[in-house]
Amino acid sequence: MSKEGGHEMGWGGYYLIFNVLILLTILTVSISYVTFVNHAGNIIAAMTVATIKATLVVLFFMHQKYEGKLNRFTAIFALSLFGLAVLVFCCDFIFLGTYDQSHQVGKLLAHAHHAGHE
Amino acid sequence: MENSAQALSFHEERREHRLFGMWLFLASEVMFFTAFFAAYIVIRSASNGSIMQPLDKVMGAINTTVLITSSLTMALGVLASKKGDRKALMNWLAITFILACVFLVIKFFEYGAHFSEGVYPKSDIFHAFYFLITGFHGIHVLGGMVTLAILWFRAKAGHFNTEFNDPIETAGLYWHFVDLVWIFLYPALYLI
Repeated sequence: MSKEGGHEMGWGGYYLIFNVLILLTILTVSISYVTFVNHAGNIIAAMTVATIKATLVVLFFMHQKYEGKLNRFTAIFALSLFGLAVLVFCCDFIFLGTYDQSHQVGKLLAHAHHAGHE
Repeated sequence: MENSAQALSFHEERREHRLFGMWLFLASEVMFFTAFFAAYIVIRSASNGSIMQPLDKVMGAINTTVLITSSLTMALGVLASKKGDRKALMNWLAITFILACVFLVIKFFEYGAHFSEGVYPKSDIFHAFYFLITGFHGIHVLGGMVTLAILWFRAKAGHFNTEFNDPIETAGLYWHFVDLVWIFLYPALYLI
């Protein structure tokens, strides 16, 4: 008998999570038809709801709430890599053009270019 | 079982190792889709959103509902296998398979609508992303369907019981992952 450690979810629990997921789907589609603060607000709202839905699927359907340390670490690590990648690329976009405010890098490059020609 | 100092039974340890193997595979698949997502974020933000084209939100919403329902039926199938209920297991596997077919049929009609309007992957960068990401997701759904079919025939042959139902649970993890990807894909491509 493959045991679960005594924390088995019954069909009632799965139906409840399913209903919450459907409600969240309705919510996210509804928000997409209106401007939520501004367009960036729509993006943040949609991705927040998507993350909540994903968390519910991972915790309950994929059973992570009741798993041991090894599998929980692996799952969190794998999904965190995705979150980290998205975060890094969003930061790249948000902070685009704000690095070289005093044009120091530009000056250094021009200096090196001239020095190379001498 | 939560305390690693306590010895796990043979079955529990085997289950943990089996699921660890599946999670390692899922981790590689997560990175596979992360690459596409990252490229999409870069291109879309570099264009200030000008690459965006409208997609059929309603079709996408129906597809989302279909996949979430298939996740539920898969979870119920795993539950039935643990209880040794062969008939219920076969029914839930069959329903999951049918819902996957419905998903692919809807995608087929969506793609067909694009093609009939002369919109192909080469038409513009957004549709290149759209067809690529949803195409790869569709291939993953197809692979899951093959697995579900094999499991259905094995269940019919009486391979699974309360003592041995490992493949159902492992395949269930994969199927929930397919749903997970779509949960992020749908808003990213259709809604925002």
